[in-house]
Amino acid sequence: MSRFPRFSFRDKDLPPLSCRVGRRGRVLDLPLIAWLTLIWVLLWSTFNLANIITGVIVAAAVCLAFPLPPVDLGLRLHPWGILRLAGYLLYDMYTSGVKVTRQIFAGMPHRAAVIGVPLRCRSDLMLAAVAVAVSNVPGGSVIEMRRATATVFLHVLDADRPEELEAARRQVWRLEELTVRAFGTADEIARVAEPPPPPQLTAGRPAP
Amino acid sequence: MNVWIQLLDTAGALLVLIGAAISLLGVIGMLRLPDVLSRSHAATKPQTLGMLLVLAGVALRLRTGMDLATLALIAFFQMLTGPVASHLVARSAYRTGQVDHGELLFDELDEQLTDGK
Amino acid sequence: MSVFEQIDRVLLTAAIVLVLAAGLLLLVRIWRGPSMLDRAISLDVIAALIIAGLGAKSAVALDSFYFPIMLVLAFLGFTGSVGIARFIAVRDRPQAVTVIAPSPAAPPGAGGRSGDDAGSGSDAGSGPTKEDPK
Repeated sequence: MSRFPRFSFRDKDLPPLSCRVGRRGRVLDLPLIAWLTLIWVLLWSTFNLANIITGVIVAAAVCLAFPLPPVDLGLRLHPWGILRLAGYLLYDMYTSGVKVTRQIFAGMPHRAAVIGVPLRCRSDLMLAAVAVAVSNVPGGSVIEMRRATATVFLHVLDADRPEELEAARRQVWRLEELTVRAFGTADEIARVAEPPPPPQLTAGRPAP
Repeated sequence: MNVWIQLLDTAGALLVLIGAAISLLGVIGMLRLPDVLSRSHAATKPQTLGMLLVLAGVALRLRTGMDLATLALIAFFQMLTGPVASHLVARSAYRTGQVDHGELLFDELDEQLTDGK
Repeated sequence: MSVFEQIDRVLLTAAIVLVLAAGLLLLVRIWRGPSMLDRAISLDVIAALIIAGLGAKSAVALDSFYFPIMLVLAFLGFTGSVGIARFIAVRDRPQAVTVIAPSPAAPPGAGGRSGDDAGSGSDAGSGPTKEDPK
C-alpha cells in the first residue's frame, strides 16, 4: 500500500466514493466524512475555513478510530422523491394529528387493535426507513417489525370501524411507496410499484 | 422598516404559537388516554408536528443561512431519533404484558407470536 | 411599526406560557404514571418540549445562542427512555395488569408468554421473532 490516499476513481477495487489511506489500507467513506464535517461546522455555528479543516480532521480521525464494516446499505438519494416524501409527511402529520386530537376529546371509549401490515420492500434499510416514517405520523405506533416476512405491526386507535383499519393499511403502503421512491435502489422501487399484497385472512375480523 | 419583513416576523411568531398549542394538545392527550400505547400516539404529536412548527417559526424570524441549516439539522435528528425511543417503549410495553389484551379488539401480532412457538 | 412588534411579543409570550403549561401537565403524568414506560414516554416529550421552549425563547430574543443545546438534545434526548424501556421496565410492572383475564381476543398462550418474558429478567428483546432491523 502506498503512503498516499488512493481514491476510488483510480482504484477499481474500492467501493464508490471512498479512499484508501495509510499502510494498513483503511477505507474511508467520503460522504460519511462530509456529513460529519457538516455536523461539526453546525455545532460551532460559524462557517469558516478553520472550522471546516478541523472538522475534516476530526471526522477522519473518528472514522479511522471506529471503522465501520464496508457494506453497501442500498441508500440512493432521489431529490424529487425526498421532496414528495416530505410534503406527504407534513400533510399526513396534519390530518392524523387532527384525527388523534378528535379521539382524545371524544370522551367515548375507543377500541384499539394491533394490525399487521405486510410490506413490499425487502432490504433492511428500507424497512427501517418505513418504520421511522410510520412512527413519525401521530396515528401509528410501531410495536414490532418482522424481518423475515417484512411485516410491520401497528397499534391503531379507533379500530371499531373497518374503514378506519383499511385507511391505516393504505396509509402505511403509501408511506412505504414514497419512502422507497425517495431512498431506495432501482429494484426496490420496481418492487414497490406493484399493487399491495392481498389482505390476510385475519384482517377485518369481526369483534369477538 | 419594510412591512413585509414585519409580516414575516409576525408569521413566525404565529407559527411558534401554533406549535406550542399543538404540543399542549398532545400533552393533554397523554393525560387523558388510558394506556401506554394510546399515550404514545398522543406523544408523537408534540415530538414531531409541534416541534416542526416551532422550528419553522424560529426559522422565519431569524432568516440567516447558518441558523436555517442548524434548525433543519435539529428537525432531522429529532425525527430520526424519536421513533427509536417510541418503538422500544411500545415493544417492551407489549412484551412485558402491560397491554391489556382484553381491551384490544383483535391482535394479529399475538396470533403470530403464539403460532411461532 | 411598533404595533407589529407588540403583536409578536404577545404571541411569543403566549407560546412560552403554553409550553410551560404543557411541561407542568407532563410533570403530573410523570408523577402519576402507573408504569415506568409512561415515564419514559414523558421523558421523550419533555425533551421535545425543552427544544420547543428554547426555540420560542430564541424567537423572542432573535439570537441563535441556544441552537447547539437544542441540537444536542435532539441527538441524545432519546437515550434515557431507551434505557428505561430496555432495562428498568421489565422489573417494574404494575399490579393491575399482571392478572390477565383469558378473553377471546387473547388466547391462553398470551398470559403464559408474557409471564415467561417477565421471568427471564431483562431479556425483553429476545423473543420468537428475529431482531428488528434498527
